[in-house]
Amino acid sequence: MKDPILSNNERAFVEKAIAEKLRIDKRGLNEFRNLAIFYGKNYGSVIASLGETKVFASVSCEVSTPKTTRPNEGTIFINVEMGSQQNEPCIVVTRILERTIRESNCIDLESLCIVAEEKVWNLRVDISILNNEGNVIDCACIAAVSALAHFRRPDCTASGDGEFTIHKSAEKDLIPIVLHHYPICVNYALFEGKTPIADPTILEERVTNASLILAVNAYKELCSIHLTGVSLTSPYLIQKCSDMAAERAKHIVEYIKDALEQDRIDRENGQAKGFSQSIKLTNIPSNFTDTQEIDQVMDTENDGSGELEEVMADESFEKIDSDTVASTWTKEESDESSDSDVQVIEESPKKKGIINVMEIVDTSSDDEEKETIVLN
Amino acid sequence: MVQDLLSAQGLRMDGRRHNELRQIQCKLGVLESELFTHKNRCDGSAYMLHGNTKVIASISGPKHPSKSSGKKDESFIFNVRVKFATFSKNGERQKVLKNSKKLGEIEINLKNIFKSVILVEKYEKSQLDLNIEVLQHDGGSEICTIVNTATLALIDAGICMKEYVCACTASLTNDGLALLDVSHLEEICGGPTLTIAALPRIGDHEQSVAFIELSQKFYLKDLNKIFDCCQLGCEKIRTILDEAIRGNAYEHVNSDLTSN
Repeated sequence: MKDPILSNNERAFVEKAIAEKLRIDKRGLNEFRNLAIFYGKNYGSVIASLGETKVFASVSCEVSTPKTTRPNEGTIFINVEMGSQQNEPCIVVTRILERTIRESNCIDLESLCIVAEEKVWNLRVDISILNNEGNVIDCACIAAVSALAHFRRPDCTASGDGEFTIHKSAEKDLIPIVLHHYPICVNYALFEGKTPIADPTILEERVTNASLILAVNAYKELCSIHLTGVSLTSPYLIQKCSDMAAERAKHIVEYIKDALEQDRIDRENGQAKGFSQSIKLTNIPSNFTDTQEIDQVMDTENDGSGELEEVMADESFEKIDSDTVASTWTKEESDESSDSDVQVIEESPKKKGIINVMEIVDTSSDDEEKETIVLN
Repeated sequence: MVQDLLSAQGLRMDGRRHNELRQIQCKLGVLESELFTHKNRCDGSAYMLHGNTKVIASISGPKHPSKSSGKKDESFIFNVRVKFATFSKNGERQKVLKNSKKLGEIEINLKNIFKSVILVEKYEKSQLDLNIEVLQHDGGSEICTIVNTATLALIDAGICMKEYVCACTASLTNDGLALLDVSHLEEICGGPTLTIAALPRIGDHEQSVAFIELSQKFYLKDLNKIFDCCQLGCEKIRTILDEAIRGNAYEHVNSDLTSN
């Protein structure tokens, strides 16, 4: 699929707005979109969404022979799929994730060894980009890390003479993978090599081309830096961005841990929800306004699967509510359970400013000269 | 396991001090342009030996874009092709990697670096091909040598650029001392490695960075130290490149004068 053409007017508008510290979706320059993590019914499957960007990650494992250079370590393989035949962005995302996850030694690979020099576990992380609305790398990284943290592998016991048995989940509890730390990618789009924009949308990404990706963990350790695209940057800016990224990474790690804990409690109570809660109610046709009504409709449509029944029950909203830790993640989901379709937008002075500008531009859009004057 | 990268006397495994580069030899115009047919002529070339890494780069263009090349909406077409020779790795012969992710990554990075440095507006509606052949490589950060060689080749071909692009690596010891220009042996022994491609400052221009890559983790507060070390290395490399280029120009003028 080819990208639609980006018009010069659109490009100029975004650049001009950024120069005046305004963004099209009303965010501040260092403000992120809402993050949500949904765990699947199987261990190691996760859907992470950042605004409208959505990424699915699933972890699987198999027994294989180790590399001759590292006979007592397991291996990890990362595969990213974009859906279309876009080769370049795919390579970039894969390599950045490999650098962040594999080369920062966040997984204890020695614990994946079964029999040294003969059999080790081979982890495989499959990442599918379901929807690209910008900042795929942040979302993919969060999905991959939380999928790895969620994953459980079968236990196995090795007898002395090189033989081993892999226990089924019914015989012995599945065991988690040891993660030393959670590396989080934070993507900044660079405008004119000077202004960093947190969490760029697809439009912003296409206007600038250049981005600085920093992978930081909760202990303020830098795991990888990557400057991509056509850009020239001053070293001072990198220092500044890395401090901001460290702050962000700390929040996200907390969020992932909270979500994991919540999932563990749900599972103990036998209420694992699966992915169905990731479907937003706003995406369902608007004549279903009452959640109760939807519940019934879903029930009749899917008699067999118990998964969907639970989803629309009211508890699912409460979960999301309790998960919102930082103030930057506004309670978007909780609004949706209300009866009306109209979303109430709080009017902070900053937001108001943008709305005004948009209106002015709208009215004078047929006359370009006028538009620039108003903006000045 | 992290070994000590610096001995008690302050020397590294190969006998260098902490702020010393490996040996660099470079030569411009190594490929004779007359030898090539018109179709794949070579407009500029360079060879560089950096430690144990040997790279040859050649430039073809600027020329009329061929029909098959690139997308039509781009005004300036810049193609990069990187090849590792079968005998490039120490020891046994190995299969040549084609279209692997690692090669793809190097090519994308090179493309981005040089697109930000070449004065693109001068070469509208034309095509430039950069071919890199790695004859011998020492593992790890070969992109550094590739970038430096490509800079020389571009200058040999007379392509307009904003500044020399110099790439350099740096690492960090356990005691927090920055090491310049990491060799393969030091890289596999542990320690984080930072690679940057920078435009060293000239006159009152700020130094700017076109490419950064970092592997392995370290504390955020050490970033400044390792970055400064890298930049110092870039400036040193710039002097070496500059000497080679001026030497080459001098030779050319001399030979022209004697032949006339």
